[in-house]
Amino acid sequence: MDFKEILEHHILDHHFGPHFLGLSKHLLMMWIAAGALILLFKVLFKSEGALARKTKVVFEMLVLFIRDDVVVPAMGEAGKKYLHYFLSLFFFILFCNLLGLIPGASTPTGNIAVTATLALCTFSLIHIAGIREHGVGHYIHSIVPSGLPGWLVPIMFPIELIGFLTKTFALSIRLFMNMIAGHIVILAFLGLIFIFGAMNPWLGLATSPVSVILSLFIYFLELAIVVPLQAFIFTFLTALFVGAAVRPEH
Amino acid sequence: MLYLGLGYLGAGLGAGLCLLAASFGIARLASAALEGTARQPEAAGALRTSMIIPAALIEGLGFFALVICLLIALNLGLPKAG
Repeated sequence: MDFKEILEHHILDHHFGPHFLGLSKHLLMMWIAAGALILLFKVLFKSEGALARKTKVVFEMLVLFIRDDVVVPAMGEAGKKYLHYFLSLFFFILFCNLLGLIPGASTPTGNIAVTATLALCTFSLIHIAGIREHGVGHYIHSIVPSGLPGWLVPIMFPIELIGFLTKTFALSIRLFMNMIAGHIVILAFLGLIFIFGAMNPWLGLATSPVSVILSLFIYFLELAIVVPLQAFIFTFLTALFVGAAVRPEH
Repeated sequence: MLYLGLGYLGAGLGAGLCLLAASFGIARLASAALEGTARQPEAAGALRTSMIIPAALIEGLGFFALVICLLIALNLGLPKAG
């Protein structure tokens, strides 16, 4: 069979039982982000050309910032074991967010499934790291803060468990909504042109420069502030939660 | 028809209220940081770093309420049951 058939019937609408696992635009964008990361960190940084030296300076700054100001303060020296996960997380979210700003591409982290998966990875890392450091029994004992009176523990334990779920949910919703809100605002500003244009073509023409300038402003705001900040916040909160599990404050 | 209008009204008012609350919270945070910087300009860098994180967290809270309002506004056109 030819390429068109394979693409249409086996890749684009691949079903696994009742679930749809076909190739969607967000999945393609995630592959592009992962490919860019592999290209950057494995290939470009091993070479010695002039371009490689310049990009190395920028990315070394970011890597050292993640190591010295995010992971080690939150997790102590034991955090260096988990550094590879945090660096991957930060740069993957950063590249996924940045891809949404290219016209024609879409934001993978603007899909609630992607951000929920990243938050579930955080959730599992919290428990895996805690169990790895302290053992199962001692970790379950350390979920509740120490130093509480005995009658308070049966109340605090479900609250802490619900707290895990809330933190996971909050992480995923925060990243998702920040990405989606930026795009919705840009769409709303550009849609103003068509709304006014339906009333009167000259009015639509007059609205276009104003609208384009406003949406450019939001575009730059999103590029410079929202995208790096959300990647940083996700990584920082993950480091905070894993640090709280790895070394509970005594 | 009335309940549809009231539903949209509720969604719009809710979005405005949550925006009001979030902006009030972040404005207090920013004013505290600015006041601290004005009193002691050499603490500007540390203050800026510890201002960014609560700003993003409060903004996240604002987005929770916004997502509820969006869910209301987008799901009001559901077909009637029965």
